[in-house]
Amino acid sequence: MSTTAENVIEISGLCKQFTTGRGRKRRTVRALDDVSLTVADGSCLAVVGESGSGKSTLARVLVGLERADAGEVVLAGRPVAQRPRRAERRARARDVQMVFQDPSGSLNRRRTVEAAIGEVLAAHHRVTGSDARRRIDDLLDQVGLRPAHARALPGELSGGQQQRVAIARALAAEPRVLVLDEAVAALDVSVQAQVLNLLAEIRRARRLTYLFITHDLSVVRQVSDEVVVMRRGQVVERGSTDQVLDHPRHPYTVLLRDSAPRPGWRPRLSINSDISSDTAEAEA
Amino acid sequence: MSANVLELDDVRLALPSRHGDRTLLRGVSLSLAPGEALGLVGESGSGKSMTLRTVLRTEPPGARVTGRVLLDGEDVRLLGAAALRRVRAERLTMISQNPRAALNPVLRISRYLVEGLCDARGESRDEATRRARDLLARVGIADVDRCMDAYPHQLSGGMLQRVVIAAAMASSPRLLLADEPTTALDVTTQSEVMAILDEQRREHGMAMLFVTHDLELASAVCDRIAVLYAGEIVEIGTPAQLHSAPRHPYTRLLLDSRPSLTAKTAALPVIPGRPIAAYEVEGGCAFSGRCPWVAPRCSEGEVALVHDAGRATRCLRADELTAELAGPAVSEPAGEPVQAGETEETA
Repeated sequence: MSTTAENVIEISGLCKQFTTGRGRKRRTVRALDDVSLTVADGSCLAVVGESGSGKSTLARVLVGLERADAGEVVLAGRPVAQRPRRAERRARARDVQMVFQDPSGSLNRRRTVEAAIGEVLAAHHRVTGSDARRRIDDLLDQVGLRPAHARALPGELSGGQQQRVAIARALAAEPRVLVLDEAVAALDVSVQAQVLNLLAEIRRARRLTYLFITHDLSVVRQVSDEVVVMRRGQVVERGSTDQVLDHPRHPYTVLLRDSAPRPGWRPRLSINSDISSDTAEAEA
Repeated sequence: MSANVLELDDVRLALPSRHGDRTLLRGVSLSLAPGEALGLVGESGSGKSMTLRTVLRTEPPGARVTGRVLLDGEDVRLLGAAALRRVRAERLTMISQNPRAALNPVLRISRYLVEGLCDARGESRDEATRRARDLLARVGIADVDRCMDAYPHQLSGGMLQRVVIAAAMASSPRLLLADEPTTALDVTTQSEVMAILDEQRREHGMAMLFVTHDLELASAVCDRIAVLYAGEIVEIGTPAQLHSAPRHPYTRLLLDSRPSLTAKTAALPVIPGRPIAAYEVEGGCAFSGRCPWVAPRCSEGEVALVHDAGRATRCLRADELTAELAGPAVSEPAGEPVQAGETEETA
């Protein structure tokens, strides 16, 4: 970790297409259409958009779960190979870790908390035995769990606790970047507040960089310094969080903001249905 | 005999499990006037969906339900199979979170709608087809032909939810049961679907029981809101009352812990612990374990839901806390009572 780059993430011209169906029903969806963005070291960039906006594809390309058709990703000063070797993949995992929406889907339900975190420690830092146990206790403490939780299976934990375990496991790799893909969307309101505060604390304490993917503008306001708004694979607006939420320029950002329930809000049909994302099928 | 569309009187529900009976509802009572929209708001395990299912009688097999569920004065819990079917076809309708579950994946939308109309109302096929097209147009579907011809998998979630709403409106029922109908939808689609639902409901003069975890959403579309916690109602009031002057600590904390669209806070006020299930309540106030205002007497015996001028609160300290709970965001709740700006209430 010897980079001096100001931007921990630099993405330029990223493109990704998916093809579905065959024959006459063959359709191409542009999940990412020339996406460029940078994330400064230690900051939090929120990526907002609705389903089909490409926000999750962006995250998956960034962590290496998906390969881009074109464009470049520079992570912590290192260009990310599109066909990485095993060692490169492992190095990338030390730079960036991901937390998903559904913790019960990302944790093996037959492995204890201890085993889940221990695996990451052993793989990335060759920490085992009593050292590992100490680190696991540390990590659990950082995410607000007790040492006793180490022996629990995911099924014995609540949704909020499971998400804390997923965060602890991500932190075990000691990454510089945490990609959070709707990481608080499935949590109850009171638990969501706890996890949002926890994530803010961890970012401060560890000087982490976050890429926070969400559909929820209230969450964006609370967690992020900057925000990009995505729609149909393109970035339609970007700027500081306050600027974008208080003075949105793109009609789609305005629509998103006006659609968020809040005191005094009334549901309404969007005036310009072309802006709405409710298209049944992705266009060719 | 009352004029209410729906009345729940001390509804309790327990499910048998390996660990003995598990209580999910601990006595829910509420009433719904014709055309009124009542929101049931709570976190997971609060019993909001289960309450709704006791009305439709779709609770899990083996569940033991006590109490009365009166639909137009008639107890649906006592109905025989044929009578229940008739009530479901004519007077009740339900929209759930997942519209795909309501539709047969191998049938076209036209078949689903037309068959429903023929079955429920004995209409002729031509008549039913005409009505189905009309219903789709009314829920804001622009290309009715394409929609009628489509299979469910060819339509987006928002479209499908409109189709289900269209079908629900077909029989002009007295009561609409909506269980998180927009939770799986994008925010812009949610806004549209809720607008359509609201419009249709008013047009048909239909009452609605609206289950959601989203207090803001419920506030926008409901006349009154019941806040549930651990299988019982802790507070009932209008959205304005709950927002400007909540009487139950849980309501207040629920409002505070949601991040705001307009302002960032250094740290969100949190409710310690996690929401508990009804069967975990050990006597006394169910919220006492997480309540910053807890007093020794809160854990002694059950707390009653006290009705007062159209509102209801289940808190022993409601009167002493009135000013504090209506005050500005609480970061140190145990401190001095805050001077509340009572004038804000007339907004």
